[in-house]
Amino acid sequence: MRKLFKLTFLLLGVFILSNCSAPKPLYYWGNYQDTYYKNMKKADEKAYDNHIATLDFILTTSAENEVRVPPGIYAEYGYIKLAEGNPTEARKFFELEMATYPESAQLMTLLLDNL
Amino acid sequence: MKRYIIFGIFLIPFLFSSCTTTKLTKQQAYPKMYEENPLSLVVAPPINNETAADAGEYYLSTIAIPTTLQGFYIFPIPIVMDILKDEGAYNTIHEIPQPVIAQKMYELFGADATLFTNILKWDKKYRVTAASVVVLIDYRIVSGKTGEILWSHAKEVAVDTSVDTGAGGIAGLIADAVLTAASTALTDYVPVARAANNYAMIPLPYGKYHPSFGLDKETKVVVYKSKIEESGGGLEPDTE
Repeated sequence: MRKLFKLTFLLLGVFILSNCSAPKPLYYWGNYQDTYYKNMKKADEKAYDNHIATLDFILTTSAENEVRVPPGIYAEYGYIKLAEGNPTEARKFFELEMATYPESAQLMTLLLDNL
Repeated sequence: MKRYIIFGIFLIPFLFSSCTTTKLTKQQAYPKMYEENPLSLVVAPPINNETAADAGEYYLSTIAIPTTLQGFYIFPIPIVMDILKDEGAYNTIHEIPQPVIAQKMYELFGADATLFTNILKWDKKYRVTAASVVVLIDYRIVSGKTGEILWSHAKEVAVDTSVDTGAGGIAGLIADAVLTAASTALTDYVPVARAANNYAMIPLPYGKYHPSFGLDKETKVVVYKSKIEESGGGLEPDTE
């Protein structure tokens, strides 16, 4: 009987520990490395779309989990919007980068001034 | 007799210590990191002495994530590289001394420091049962304010490409495995670089966005500094 109690407590302890030993990751990066690399290497439409999908995934997953969007992602998204001919959207994302990471201000201002 | 034993006892730790690498606290190893506390890093175009000419650019895709997870702000790499290309600085940047580049990056982007990477070795080794890549990358963080090396790391590692370590991107690895026979080198590139980078980041003091920022001074790490830093200066990479 006592053994059973001990075992239960032990299992309970493991359960509790495993629950709190899984903190939120600092950032969600999704498949960023792979899609960035493939987009650079192949530079075709599919690779491009896949990389945009990664950026979308990072933005939504970070929001859902209330985690800060990783450094540079808002800026990269805005940069893509700019290349697609949408300076209004670009401005929005450059400003989001600057608001999230004040240390990006100098570069973001440079980009905003050129819009 | 007793004397021999005592002598022997003293000898044992000496023998052991000579074949293992000494551990230092991060504070002892990289005091300047804690003095300056750089928050924002810009990644310089990698120097690439070993792999295909464009592999340096591919390598860029792998360096941002581990550095941000260590707590640093990394300036958006695609944007920075385009600006450097527009300025005509992308290909010529390595002819300029690193402290000068770091100071220029500070002026241009407000980057506290610049992260330089130099791929010195990328040897693919094949055996019947396994494939691995021997990698040596020289990493350096150079202050944009003082031009001093704040942190460096250079240690040869072998990355086993026949075993999936499960460190993220598993699906991508499985999908790529089909291509391995056709174009092994580049298919393996990202996971190999990722493994090498993750290893290199272990001794790097945490940046401000990491929950343990400032709390890792006493953490003991094995220190493999860049040869340049060990020899106390010099700007040219020391290729073996």
